[in-house]
Amino acid sequence: MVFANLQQLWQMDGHGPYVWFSFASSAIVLCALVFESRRRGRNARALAAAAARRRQAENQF
Amino acid sequence: MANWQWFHKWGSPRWFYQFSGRLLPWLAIPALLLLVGGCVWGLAFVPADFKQGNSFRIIYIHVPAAAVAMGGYMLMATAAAVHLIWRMKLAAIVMKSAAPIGAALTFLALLTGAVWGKPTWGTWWVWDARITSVLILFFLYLGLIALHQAFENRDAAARACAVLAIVGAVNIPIIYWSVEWWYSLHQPASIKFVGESTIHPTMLRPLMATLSGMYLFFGWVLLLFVRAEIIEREKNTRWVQALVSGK
Repeated sequence: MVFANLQQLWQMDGHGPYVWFSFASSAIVLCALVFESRRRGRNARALAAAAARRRQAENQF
Repeated sequence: MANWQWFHKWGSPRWFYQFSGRLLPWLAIPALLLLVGGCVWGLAFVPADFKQGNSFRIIYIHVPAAAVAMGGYMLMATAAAVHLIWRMKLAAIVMKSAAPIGAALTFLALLTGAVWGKPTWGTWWVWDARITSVLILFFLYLGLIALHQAFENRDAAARACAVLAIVGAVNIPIIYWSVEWWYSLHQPASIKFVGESTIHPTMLRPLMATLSGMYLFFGWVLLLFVRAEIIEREKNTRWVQALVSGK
């Protein structure tokens, strides 16, 4: 590590707030993309399952 | 006679759904390893830049986000052209799915760029050619999302979005060459396709890690979006109903 301790890593000679904010906001945006893609997948599967149940019910009558 | 079977396969959402399912772990795992590893490497193990100090470390997220936002647009424009020429449904799905991912990455590039600009240039924002053209890219992505939602007819929406995506592709070379064509606070490209890169190898290696990680991440999330869209569109087909019923 190029920093002597964690305190220096956190502060980065006064640039810490800029650097850590950038990485934290990036992590949030990337995680949000993954969650959104999974949410869409779950919703689509739920819609398809409902359609399958409807078709099954129609076939019974 | 040329064998066009491989090409026709790409027109089948069912085939693509099954094929992409096998690809997912090969994209997700390296993407996360490269992104996390590259960020840790860049944050803690690379010496500070002699001019910018530690603020330069923002490069490890800003450049990959900007590069993939531009690459994602080119992919979207290519899918748009394929959809218009061959009426391929899958291409329309890829085009629609790439838009929110590209918008998020462009937003990230603008946000981290603004945060990087403050300690480096003394300002959050300037209306220079590079930043303005990236802002236009962001609006293009948002415009595509809005345009798609504005149509009730899915085919009409896809055709309109395809035209907009293709026309908007003119912005990509403008973004890339803007630092050469106009006066800009941005430095010229440090990583070059032709010629030697002007960034030191100790700083370049973690950047290549996060850059390749971001491309893989884009591929992974794009497949997740595309697969969700395929299921939604094909929900009334037997193969999807068998899939969700576990048969």
